[in-house]
Amino acid sequence: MSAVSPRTSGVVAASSAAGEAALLEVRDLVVEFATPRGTVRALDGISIELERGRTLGLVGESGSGKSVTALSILRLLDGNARIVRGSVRVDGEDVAAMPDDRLRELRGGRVAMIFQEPSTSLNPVFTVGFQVAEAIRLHRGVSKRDAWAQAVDMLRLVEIPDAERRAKSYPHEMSGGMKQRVMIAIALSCGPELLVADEPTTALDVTIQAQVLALLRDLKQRLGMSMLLITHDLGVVANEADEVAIFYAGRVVEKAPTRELFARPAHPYTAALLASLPRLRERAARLVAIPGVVPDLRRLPSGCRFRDRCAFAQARCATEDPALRPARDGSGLVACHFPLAGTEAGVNA
Amino acid sequence: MSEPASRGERPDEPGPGTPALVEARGLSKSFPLRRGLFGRRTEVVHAVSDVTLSVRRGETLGVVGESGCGKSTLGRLLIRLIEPTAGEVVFDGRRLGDLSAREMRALRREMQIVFQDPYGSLEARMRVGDIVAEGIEIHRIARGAEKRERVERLLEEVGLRPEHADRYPHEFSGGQRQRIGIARALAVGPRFLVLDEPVSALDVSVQAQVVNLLADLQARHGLTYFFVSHDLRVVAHLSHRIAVLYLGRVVEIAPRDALLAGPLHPYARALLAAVPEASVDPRPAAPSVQGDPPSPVAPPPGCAFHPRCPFAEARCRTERPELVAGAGDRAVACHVFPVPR
Repeated sequence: MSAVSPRTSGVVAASSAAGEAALLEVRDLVVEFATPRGTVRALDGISIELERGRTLGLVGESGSGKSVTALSILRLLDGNARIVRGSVRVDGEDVAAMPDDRLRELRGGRVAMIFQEPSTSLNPVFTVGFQVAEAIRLHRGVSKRDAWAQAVDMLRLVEIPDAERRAKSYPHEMSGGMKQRVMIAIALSCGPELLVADEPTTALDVTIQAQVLALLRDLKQRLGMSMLLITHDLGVVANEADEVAIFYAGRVVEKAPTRELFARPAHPYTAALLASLPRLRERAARLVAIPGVVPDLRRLPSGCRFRDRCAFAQARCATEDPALRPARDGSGLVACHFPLAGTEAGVNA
Repeated sequence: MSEPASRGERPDEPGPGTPALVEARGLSKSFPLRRGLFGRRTEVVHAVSDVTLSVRRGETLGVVGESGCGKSTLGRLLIRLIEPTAGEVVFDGRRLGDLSAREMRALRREMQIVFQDPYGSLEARMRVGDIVAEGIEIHRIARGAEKRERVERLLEEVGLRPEHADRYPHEFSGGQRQRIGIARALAVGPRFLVLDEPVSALDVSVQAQVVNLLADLQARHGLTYFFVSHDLRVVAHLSHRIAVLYLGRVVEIAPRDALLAGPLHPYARALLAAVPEASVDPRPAAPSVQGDPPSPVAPPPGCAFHPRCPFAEARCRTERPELVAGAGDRAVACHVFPVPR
């Protein structure tokens, strides 16, 4: 284990030069939930950007805020949630300030979303072809007959075998993997520029997961979409994302190009997560566990939120909340007073 | 930290010569499934079909496969939580089917299970101490102050504090609840533990803690594990040997390193290739499988994997391959890639 690097020159997180051209730009987003036990701040100043044609992975554990961020983009938050501060811009247009009719155009139009559990998103009493056709009719204003034909085309696009016949199936007659393909067909039916995929393969078996991820990768390329991929699985983003943002307790603690993040994690949490994973091809005698538990958002530690689980925490970490600033000589951002020097595999020594 | 619980490196590791603690012999389990209007049409789900394998003393046998492959059912059969439709389970040389109810009750001390769901599997209205003590009482292992002392020692052993005995499950995190579940299983001093997806519901940062705990407990008590998981990464870390199940049958069983380095069965290859490794290194190229697993209600004839197999030949469609043992302590059920002799 090498020593921690000296403090990086203190600059506040710089927005990228291409910030103006970003398809999605979330800036300093703060979201709170009213609960019986008081207000919970689920997002505390989240900033992310996604450029056209790219995939950004949002990785975090339960309660880290990755899904709340996704829902905020389409203003799909529950009634007890409130955007306290910050902005979400799609193509430069502020989603928070959008009138309802404009918002409806955005949802399922320029921005589409798929979720973890396809079964709960599909209506059990209609055929899958009908449901895809409805989505097409809603946005394209075509006749029923044309919509059905286009729906079958969409089912073909997502590689459902024998699409013409399968279009007449009901959701319960399909496997989880096939249902997720139907959801993707619905999501893509209006030619979105941005696909928000919230744990799209978490409920699927591993060979089916591989199929669905390959399909998403292929479609993204062919249709020129951007993708926001939300997952708890570092293994999923490793192969799919161009860039990764690591979430912890309502904050982004590290953001970097995927290759950099895996090769030289700068935040101790990122490094510890990578070190704690069992691997198939290189076996550690013992996993390097992260002590403690994911913190309760109502009782966060002072200063850095990760400090009570961090192997490198020092006095300053308890008093001063670290802001995101450039890491690894400018490749990515990290919110840590003592970022790791970026040796291979971080703390896994 | 204590000494690393490494696998397959120490001379006293369990190997081919180690006697079996638990054996499945031709084990099958099918469940009736009511279908059709008013449930008049009855179909049968073949959850486990003709499984023969042994779990050796002191080893971790990892069992992997996708949903519906029968891995959890097999675990429950091994400790007789459910009765087999055919075949038998032999525990330490005794056939479970021959035992009287009283003998079986006594034998339950030897075999315990840890479930996936650390929320649903603990009785919410019981104190943690009482949950852990239940087995101690049932088997009349200890009472009074001695029981209390034993419970506190167990809690410490799984990384909790003695005073946690007076609290309720909802006061604990997922990882801590799983520790409680492990303490409950250990309370009666078992030799054999079925671990059914024990870390699957836990946050990534907490999984490693519980995995390490399981490795430590095995080393300390010489426990034998039957470790069921859909996550090959976790199984690979803990197991000495790995069995791959497909549609209720073992298609390959091999020492951990051999299986990971060179799986023979095409399904085992596909499964390994599909595992998303947390690494940006190039992945080994392997044939991917198409389509979904078929229904266990009507498994395909011949080799059940043939409709998805890129290597299937004519005989794979008609003739079911037997699980054949060969060199290197491994066995494979495949016409195209038989195990080397």
